Amino acid sequence: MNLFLEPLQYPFFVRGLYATLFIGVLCSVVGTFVVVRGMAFFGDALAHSIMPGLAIGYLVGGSQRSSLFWWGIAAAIVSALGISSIQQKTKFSEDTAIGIVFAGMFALGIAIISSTPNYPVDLNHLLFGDVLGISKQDLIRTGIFSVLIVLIILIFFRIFVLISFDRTLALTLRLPLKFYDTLLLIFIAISIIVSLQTVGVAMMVAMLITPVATALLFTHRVMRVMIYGSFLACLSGIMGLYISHHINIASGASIVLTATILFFGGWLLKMVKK
Amino acid sequence: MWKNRTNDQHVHSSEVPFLQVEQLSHSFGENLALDQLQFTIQKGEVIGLVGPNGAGKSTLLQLLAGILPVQQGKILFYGTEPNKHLCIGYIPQRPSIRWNFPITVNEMVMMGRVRKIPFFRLPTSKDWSIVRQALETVQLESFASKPIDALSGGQLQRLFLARALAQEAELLLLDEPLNHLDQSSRKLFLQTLQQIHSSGTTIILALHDLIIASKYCNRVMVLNQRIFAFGTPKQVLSDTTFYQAYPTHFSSFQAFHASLLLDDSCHSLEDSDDEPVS
Repeated sequence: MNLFLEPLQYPFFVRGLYATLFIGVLCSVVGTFVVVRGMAFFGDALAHSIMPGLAIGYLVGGSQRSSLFWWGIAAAIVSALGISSIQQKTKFSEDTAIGIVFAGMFALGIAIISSTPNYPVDLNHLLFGDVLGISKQDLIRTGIFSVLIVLIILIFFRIFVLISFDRTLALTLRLPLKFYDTLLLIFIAISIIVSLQTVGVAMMVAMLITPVATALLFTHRVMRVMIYGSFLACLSGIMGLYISHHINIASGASIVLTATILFFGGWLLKMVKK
Repeated sequence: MWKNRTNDQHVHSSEVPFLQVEQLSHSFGENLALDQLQFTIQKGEVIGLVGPNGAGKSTLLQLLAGILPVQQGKILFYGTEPNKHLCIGYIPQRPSIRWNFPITVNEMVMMGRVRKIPFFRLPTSKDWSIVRQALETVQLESFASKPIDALSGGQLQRLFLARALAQEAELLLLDEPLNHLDQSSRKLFLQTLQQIHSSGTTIILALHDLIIASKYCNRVMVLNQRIFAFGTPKQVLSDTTFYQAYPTHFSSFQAFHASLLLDDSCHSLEDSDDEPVS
């Protein structure tokens, strides 16, 4: 029992738990569309293409996390809009558009970092995640963004499902496809920034994909995928944090590994059931 | 965007022509796909659109559906552009849906009603009842809670019809719907179309099978960039202009046989119980 209660006496641990719950739900709701639309590459690329935002954010505001956050969001939205524009206005496929923008933005980030002497090691927590280092202010911001994005997605749920499933029907029903596509890309971008502190840039895509993929093993209804995925992501977050605390490994890695183990566990269970 | 979400944007008056096409031309780059088409279709007709590959059948259907923008000429559906209406159902030749999408049969049919359900409301019992009726019409009610990837090709085609029914489509545009269907699936599909037509829906279907076109359509349009012939199957298939549109021997041979099968009055979808011949 002490194993469960002992970490709760540390405020940073409790804040970390709350953050993983918010992010678990957010990533699963947004990640459902990432998975069903086959946009895993987009999620991964976007997480990397915020590099110039983080670099500029640091130059402007030092290691202040709010500065990194807002510049990160700006870079993510620029990347999302760039990908969306290239895709809509040229004949290139989505992955080509992603490749162009992602590589360009990442290179810009590296260029800024390399031109700045003694660039901070503080960026480590954004690259590899540090959910236990989350401040009260960060937590409030994470909570507000998570609730807002989940609410908006639920309001437009039927539309997002339709444009993800059958674009021809969406056109005959006169839905503004470009508007909703761009809105969804921006939501994915913001979710990635909001969640970065949990698992970091390097493992971000796992938070968007793995719990949703596990949920998809057990249901064929979008809403249930979101619900099961949220539950699994929250479970991974909580278990990952406890494991990280007790065996002293990086919290982000611990959460992602837990989610991965749950996926393989679910897969095994499904195969046994068959 | 929030305005008129629950209704079609335009009143459907019986005083204006149902579908009127005037001087319609369309190009893809320098390639002319359709040249100066002009025709009128009355409510309740079944129109067979025939022509060789690349004749512009799909382009015409996409223009009528309001998916492609009109470059030159006019399309008036109840007196206004098709893209102002929500009651045009379109089933493409190769539906661009994600087949492994986590969605059930009845959820897919409910998608046809997306614009009829406001953002802040769940589907009502009336919506579900319409979905159920649509599935009954296409004989897929027993699959309602199954994932869509559990359906066969023929069942999927009927599922698209069910969705158009849930959409309450007044004009149904079908692009070669019988491709890849076996004999029994074709029969069931055509029977379902018969039922949909009998409820007053106007149907335009692109076909390669001239015999089915001649047996099941009120009028047949022979298209190859321009309209070569448009009239009752008997008029069209016995018209020498038909052979200009269809240069291949096989098609001419099939058309000849189709014309032999025709009696004085054409079969309508309502009164035809014959098994389609292919």
